[in-house]
Amino acid sequence: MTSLPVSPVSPVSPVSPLVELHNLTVAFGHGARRREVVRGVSLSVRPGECLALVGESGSGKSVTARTLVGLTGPSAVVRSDVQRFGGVNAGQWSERQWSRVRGRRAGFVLQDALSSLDPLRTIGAEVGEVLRLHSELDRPGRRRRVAELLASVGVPDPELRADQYPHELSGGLRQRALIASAVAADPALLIADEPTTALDATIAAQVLRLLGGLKGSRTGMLVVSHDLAVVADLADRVAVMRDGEIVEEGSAEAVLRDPRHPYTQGLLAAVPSRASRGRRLTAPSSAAAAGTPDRPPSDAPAPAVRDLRGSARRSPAGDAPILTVAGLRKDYPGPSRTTRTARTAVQDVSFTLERGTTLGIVGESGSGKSTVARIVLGVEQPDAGSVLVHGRTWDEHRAARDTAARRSVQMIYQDPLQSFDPRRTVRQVIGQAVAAAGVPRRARAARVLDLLELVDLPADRARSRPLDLSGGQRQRVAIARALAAEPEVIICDEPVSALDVTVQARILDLLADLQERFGLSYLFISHDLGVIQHVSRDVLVLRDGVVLEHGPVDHIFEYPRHAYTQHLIHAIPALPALRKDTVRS
Amino acid sequence: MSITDRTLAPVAVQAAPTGTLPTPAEPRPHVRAARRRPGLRPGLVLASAFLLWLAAAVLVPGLLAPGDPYAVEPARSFEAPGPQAWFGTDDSGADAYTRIIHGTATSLSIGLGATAIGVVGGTAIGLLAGLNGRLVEASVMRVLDVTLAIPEILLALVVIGIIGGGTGNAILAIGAGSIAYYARITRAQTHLVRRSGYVEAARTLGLPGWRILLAHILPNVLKPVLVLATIGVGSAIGAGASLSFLGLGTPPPAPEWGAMLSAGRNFISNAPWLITLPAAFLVATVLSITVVGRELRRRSEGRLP
Amino acid sequence: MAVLRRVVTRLLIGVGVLWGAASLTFLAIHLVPGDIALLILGGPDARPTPEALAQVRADYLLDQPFVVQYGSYLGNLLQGDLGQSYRLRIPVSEAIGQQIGATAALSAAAVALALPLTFAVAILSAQRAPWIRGIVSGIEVVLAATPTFIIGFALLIVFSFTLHWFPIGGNQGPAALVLPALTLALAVFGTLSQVLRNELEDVLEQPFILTARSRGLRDLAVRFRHALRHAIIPVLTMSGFVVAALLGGSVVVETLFSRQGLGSLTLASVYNKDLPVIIGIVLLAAAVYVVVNLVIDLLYTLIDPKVVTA
Repeated sequence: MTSLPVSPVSPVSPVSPLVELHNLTVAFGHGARRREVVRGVSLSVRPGECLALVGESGSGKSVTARTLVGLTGPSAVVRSDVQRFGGVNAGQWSERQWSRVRGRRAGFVLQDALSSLDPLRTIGAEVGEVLRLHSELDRPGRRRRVAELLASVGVPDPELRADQYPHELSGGLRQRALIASAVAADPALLIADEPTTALDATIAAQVLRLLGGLKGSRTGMLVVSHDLAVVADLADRVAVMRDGEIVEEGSAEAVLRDPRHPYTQGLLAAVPSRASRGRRLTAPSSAAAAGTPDRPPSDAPAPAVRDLRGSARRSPAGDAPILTVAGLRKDYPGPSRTTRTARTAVQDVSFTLERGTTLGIVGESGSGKSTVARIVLGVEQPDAGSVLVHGRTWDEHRAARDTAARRSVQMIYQDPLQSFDPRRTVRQVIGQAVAAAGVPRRARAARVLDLLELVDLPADRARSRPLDLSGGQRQRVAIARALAAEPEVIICDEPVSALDVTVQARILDLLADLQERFGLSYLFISHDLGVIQHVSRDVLVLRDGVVLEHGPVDHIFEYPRHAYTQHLIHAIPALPALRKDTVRS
Repeated sequence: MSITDRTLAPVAVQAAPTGTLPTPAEPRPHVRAARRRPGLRPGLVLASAFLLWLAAAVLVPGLLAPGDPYAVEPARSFEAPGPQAWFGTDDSGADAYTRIIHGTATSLSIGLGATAIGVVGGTAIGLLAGLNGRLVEASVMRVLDVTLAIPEILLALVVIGIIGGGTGNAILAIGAGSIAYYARITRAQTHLVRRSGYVEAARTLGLPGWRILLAHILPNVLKPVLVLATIGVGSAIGAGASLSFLGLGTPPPAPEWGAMLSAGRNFISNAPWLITLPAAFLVATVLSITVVGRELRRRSEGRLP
Repeated sequence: MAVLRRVVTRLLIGVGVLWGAASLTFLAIHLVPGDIALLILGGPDARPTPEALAQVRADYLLDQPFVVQYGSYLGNLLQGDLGQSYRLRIPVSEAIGQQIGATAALSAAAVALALPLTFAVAILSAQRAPWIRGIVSGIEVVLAATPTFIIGFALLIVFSFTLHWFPIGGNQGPAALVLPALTLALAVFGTLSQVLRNELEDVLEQPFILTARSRGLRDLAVRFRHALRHAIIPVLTMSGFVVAALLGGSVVVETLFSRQGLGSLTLASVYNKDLPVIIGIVLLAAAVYVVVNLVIDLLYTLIDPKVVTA
């Protein structure tokens, strides 16, 4: 039993806990395929208190939260020494007993309200369902109450919204409606599982404020998140989970400012931000832990690695921009085929990219940042404006059959898996790019191995298919393939958004190493301001397809001119400053 | 004719003709693949064993049933199944077991031949539609919409009504009836693959179009179509037997399963084994092909992103 | 307004499908070698006089260019004239009209049996213990793999020849309808139920189902109030399959149970190369398909709010 002792009856709390778990174990499957996803977890939530369960994917945090309301599903085997709900032993509760508690005494908010609200029913029907089950209200009474509830969570025009379907509402309003349905029966316990994960930063900040406001004297709250910063403002206590166990637990202040466990320390240090610019996000030892203990330190050039030749040949001075983008415009046909009103996705976007630098493009969903990426990559045609790679347009390169120029701009995607042919192994995927770069046949195998080493992947992964790799490993394969093409520019479209924070940190460190070593230029697209501030020299703020700001990252974040930029910066959930001695340099 | 097992096709691809029906929610193959229970494993072994046995019946029927399938012995008519005749004898005293074994080749070749026609014709049309411009695609798809409006069996009956019956014509008719189905899934798959990230990635590597077509598009389009075609063989065998049952496929006295069932129908009350045993063989064959085909599909879906 | 525009669009597409079906069959029949005049006079064994042949050629415009024949055919079609049956010597519409009632009754009875069975089995067996799912899906797979006429044979042997509960065939009375309808229903059920359950199981894994459970909704209520509506959508898409199964199955079932109906008319026409009747039945099938799809399309707009607004 490795979890830290949790004091279930702490002296400072006179009220008895709303829920209590002692030594919880949850397993799925049977026999050889049995997997324990939660091991020996103990926790409690008291009225008026907010406990945050923090961990990366697979840490068992969501399963733990679901256990509290008996929603682990029929395939789970749940064991605990003590499970109490409202002071009553709930360990042996039947489905019928649980269904009386759910909704009435415990509300549950999941992430991504688009899929957590029934898409075929109106918002009003969804919120009203709780009232139908747990109140005596008649139909008109429920309708009135639904409108009140929606108004109370900040949904404007609640009567109107109640008759709308989830897809007709914005992400923020959807999440508010979902919260309204969770609190409709005024439960004493509110469980929120990644309540802000699918939302844009500005919206997420609003939802967090809403949740904070719900924390009353009677209501206890359990928030599950992968994001330490999200819970920093909300939580009174934080429990950090890893591999099904709680590794550290304490007051939010203590855990976030002065973490004791090395895992928590690493987690906090891995969060990219303005403050983290120029330093590595992971301890240097992590690369060795990945399985290549005797590889050369990354600053010593590996002899077998070919130089990425484009660099020296093309722009000797290094000052001339590799990439010049001017006046990009892209329209998409409107939703109605009859009216043909075009929607402008991108309007008058211009920038240049110089050797060895990173230009960050930041914007929320629908800002047009991915459209810019695809036009720059040359797979989509702009309606106006130009993309010049070494002074020539893509059409000119194509006419000149200049495949080296074609290869000089590569892209890595948020979901690398869809960019790999499912029939091919890692070796074949990278090998194709190596061959395309003109490496002679007999040298290709060695080159593939070099590239794998370059991205810190063990050589035996060459035989795997990308489907069998983890998210971080897949992204490394994508990077290796991009490098194989010997590029000068790599467009990174949300390359770390789908990754856990520690994996994200290692990928960001890898990208930084490669940039330094090969003089690569990055066009780095992200919705995450922390990531953008960490990686970029210059930044371009995009909103509704229009460039709001463009300049050095320090300047823009210090003196944002546009109200929207200020809004964005303000929405970054802030971690409390770490105590000095825990910060690695 | 059998209402064939076409559940295997992703539902959205299968039934909704573009422009005639809205596409339903995206299928979620990963969810489905992950949930696929291992319950069919013993069934899979049985099915594979039965198919191997059928293969032997096709290649060396004399080894499994040494007798002559056409030999008649009126004195021994309507013998019930027993040690003398395992599956009994029919009205002319011919041994039913021998006839079933020797009929395997005909019945299977109808299924394989018809599927081959459907797959070759369908993939050619589907690729034509999927790889060309909008105009070609739209016109091809409209014609397919029309053929889709007519049930496959009716299409097969129309073909036979025009060209006449018989084994060869039955193969042609069933194959022609299934072309539209394979054309649709090929086109849908072609669209998916063409717009896929890996084709885009290959393009940004500067690979020429024909290389991308050969290395990525064709293999990824054809593989799922071929997997579905394995299950299609089962349905086509059932369809062939149905046509023979209706008197439009293989004519008697050839030992074909459907024809045997058609002849046995007259004696259903006094010699039910003339129905039950060939029927059991037919069902076991279609079932085994379905089970093996689904396993293939399950495995290939696991490979898709 | 949006719904009306959808209906009009679908109707136009439907007319196009009908025109295409008419043209395709007409083309196929005229491209295939063989003397149609001879067919009209009773097939190759009829040995008609040359005068009679010439008369028929003139009457049926067979001596005219293809375009003229096609034009007159379409013209007649627009007036509702499907031509004369070669075999029965009566208008095709009349031949079809005589038989359509029996097949419609058979199809309706089959649907009335198949749909409740499918929904009950799928809803109750989705996401249940492995052994329940194993048994139920095993039965479904067997039914889906079994040709319709063999299902019919099995029912005949059990319920007519062994138990003597139902007549072995004919059109007389409701008792004679039971086994044919059950045959078609089981054939439809085998496939449809698998699709519906797969879909239900996918839907039951969706987050909004977890949300519904977290509100205190009980399992059966979750299945009926939330999951079912979602699972119906792909089942609706299968309606083309159901129509095909009923129309195609009626050929086999009506033969097996010696029933009157469109199926036996089709078969007789195919035997005798009665081309006008075959074309007429093809057009009817296409028309049924178009109408069913139109209805399904309207059902979509009722079930899925996104279909209209998007």
